[in-house]
Amino acid sequence: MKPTRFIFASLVLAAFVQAAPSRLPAGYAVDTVDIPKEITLGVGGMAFLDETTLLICTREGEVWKFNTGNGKWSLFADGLHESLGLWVNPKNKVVYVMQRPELTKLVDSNKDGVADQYQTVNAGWGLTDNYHEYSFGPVRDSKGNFYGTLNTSLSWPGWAGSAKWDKARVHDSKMGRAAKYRGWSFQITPDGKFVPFSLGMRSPAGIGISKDDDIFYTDNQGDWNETSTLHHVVKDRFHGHPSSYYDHPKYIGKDLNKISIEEYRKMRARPAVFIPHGELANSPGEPVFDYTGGKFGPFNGQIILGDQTKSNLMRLHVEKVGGEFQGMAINFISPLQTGCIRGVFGPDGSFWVGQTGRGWGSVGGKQFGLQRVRWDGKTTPMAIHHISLTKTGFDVHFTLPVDAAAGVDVANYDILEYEYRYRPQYGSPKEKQKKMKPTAVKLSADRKVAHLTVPLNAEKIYQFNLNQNLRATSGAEIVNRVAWYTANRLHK
Amino acid sequence: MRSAIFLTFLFTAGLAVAKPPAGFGTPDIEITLGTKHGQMRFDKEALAVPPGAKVKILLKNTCEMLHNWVLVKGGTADRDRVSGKALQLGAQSMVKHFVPEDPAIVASSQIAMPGKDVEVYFVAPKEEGDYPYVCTLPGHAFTMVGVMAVSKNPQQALNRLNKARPQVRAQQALLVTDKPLLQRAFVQNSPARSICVGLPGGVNYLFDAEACTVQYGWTGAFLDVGPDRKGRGGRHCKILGQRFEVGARGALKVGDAKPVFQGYSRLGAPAFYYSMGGASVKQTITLHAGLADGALKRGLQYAFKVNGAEGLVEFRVDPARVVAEASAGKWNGDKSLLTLSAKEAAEFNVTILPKN
Repeated sequence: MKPTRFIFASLVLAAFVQAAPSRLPAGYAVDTVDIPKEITLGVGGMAFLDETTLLICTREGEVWKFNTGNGKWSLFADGLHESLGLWVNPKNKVVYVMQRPELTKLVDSNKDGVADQYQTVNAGWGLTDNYHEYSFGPVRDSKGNFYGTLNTSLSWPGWAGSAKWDKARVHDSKMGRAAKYRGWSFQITPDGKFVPFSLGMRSPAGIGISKDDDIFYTDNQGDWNETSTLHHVVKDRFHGHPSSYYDHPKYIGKDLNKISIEEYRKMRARPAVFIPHGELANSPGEPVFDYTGGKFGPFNGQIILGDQTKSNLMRLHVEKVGGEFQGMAINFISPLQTGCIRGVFGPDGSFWVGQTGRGWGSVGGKQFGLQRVRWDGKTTPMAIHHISLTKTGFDVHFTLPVDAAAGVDVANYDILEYEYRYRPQYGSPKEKQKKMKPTAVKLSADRKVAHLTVPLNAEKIYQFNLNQNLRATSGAEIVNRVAWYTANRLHK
Repeated sequence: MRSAIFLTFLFTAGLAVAKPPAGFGTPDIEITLGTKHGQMRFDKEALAVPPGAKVKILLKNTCEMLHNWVLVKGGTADRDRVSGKALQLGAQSMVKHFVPEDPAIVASSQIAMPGKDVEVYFVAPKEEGDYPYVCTLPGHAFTMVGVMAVSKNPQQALNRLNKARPQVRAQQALLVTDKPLLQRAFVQNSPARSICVGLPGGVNYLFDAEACTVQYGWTGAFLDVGPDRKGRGGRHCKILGQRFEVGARGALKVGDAKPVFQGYSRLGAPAFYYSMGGASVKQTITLHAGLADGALKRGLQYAFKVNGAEGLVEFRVDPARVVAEASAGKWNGDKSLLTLSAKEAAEFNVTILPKN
């Protein structure tokens, strides 16, 4: 048999090597998959095809099948244009892949294990040869609609090295719109129609969907984006980066520079969660809801989110206040071996992390990788489970009862109130910072909730630094003691 | 398996084992010439020997294809004439090792079977100069070429040839072996939704999935994806061969509607699907080689299946750039426009040979 790219299947046995991140809650373990040297696995998307087959699409344009049982790799598809997302229909196992120019259905018509029909589902967006015009997604809702997100173009000639993409930069920002619908999210209906869905995205590298069809995407800090962010996608919503208004039917032909920063600020929907740049994330990837029902530990229902630069995993908890999502962000596990851009839960409840470090630099320094996070099924780590807003302050929920004496001492809760400034420049410093302590703390009867009384203001971020004294009854320390809550709205 | 046995029989029965001809003596110079796996190229594309030297060439075939080696006196036109004649040997081709009768041939090898070596012994011409060499197996003559300098100062001549030869400097070349390769990528001065296709035989082309046409072709090696696989990506990939025109932008026309790309099949030769004005089109593209004005040219064949067309189907080419032939329909006076009835368009072929 001749060697071909299509039946490459090295008989590498499942080579999992346990890794040891410095911050790892008790009960969790991280395994590193040994990737055959023939494969460049800059992960762009992941989905499980069946109990043991993990499909992985890559920045290099390949789709690999990885058998999580025996560690065997085989190539399913190749020649794609930078594939950054996968979705598998759970009913008929049909594979959809997002590439730069289109959403594509990959069909293995002769059942030899390799895709042979590359069918275009939709290519309704504009595309130039600007490197920054990434296409992300898809997720699919319960009605059969696909959703994806489209990066802005790098338009400022000073960075782009050419003026040919210099279109629709607003208030001298760096990113613009060199082709149609850059900076938009889109919907593809079950009959294949392209619907521009929401706008104002900058670098929306991760998209996720909840059980209730709520769509979230993450954006990266940059022009018009104060820090990394999580946004709730709603039809016609403006998320903050104005270049995409160029393709909005009501703004076509209008001078976007005549609209003031303040007006844009009022037009935009604030991010559901601000993720502090540098402290927690620099370039977040795909938000993945934990619906394992406890197989992955005590955080069921939360979002697990990786970061490309800091190579960490975070937990995000969102709740509705005043009809809109907002909530908490906290570190979870750090650092992993390289940039964590994609994640997927396996059938056994373990979390697979798809990694790439090429192009921006990632903690760990590897160019790409695949790791698995497992929970032992019994050990509850001492952790901040989540923080929620109350009418009088915040409830800090712990996974285990907190030490009674420490838990009621206000001195153990350092709080920093601050805000970011929405502006066309790159990122924002923390502004109007105000250090405080809760005016009172009460513990719930089971000592798993600390009710903090805190004077509240809307459109602020509250950073919580918990003192080391706040331990479990066993003496176990909280692994990640800093959390941030985005209070866009207050309870009435 | 049957064909392999047949070939073995043919070779043992019909051909003598290569040995130095009687009275040849010891070679003055021995050269090992390899093949680049999957690239349809010799591993050395420049050689040099002194005039009148007794030369032994050891052709080591490391590919899974058949190859030979033919040295020609003259220029590339003579080389291409010899290669063209090799294509016309028909039933005799295997027996004759794809070496036709031609006065320009200085030396030639037998066919080297996959993984096998063959030897060639010859006395270098007395006359100094550059002598092209080529593999004359069908489709190989475009890329499996080189030049042997006959010179009193062979080292100097070799340096000169190596300097003059365009270097293929690829960071990460995709290699076409026995199956077509498809790669969607950004390519310099090409549409953003480009699909690059490399066919076995050293012919490649770029299909625009937006306009649904072949934009151009190129011969030789396929694609350097290195620029796109570094850093953040997005840099232009490079076509690695010699570009040729297909003269057929916006080629197929069914009514006035814009085409909508629907994807492609990778079963066998790549076939592209698109819809156009209510009609569905399947365009299968294969390598086409033929003689244009006596010269061997490589081009493309489009096998079209147009279903559901209402009214006439048109296919346009630029006759100044290509020689086009069609299996059905009617050409206009200058052969720039082919018109087909809906029935004719249901299945027809067009072959394109570049004039450049």
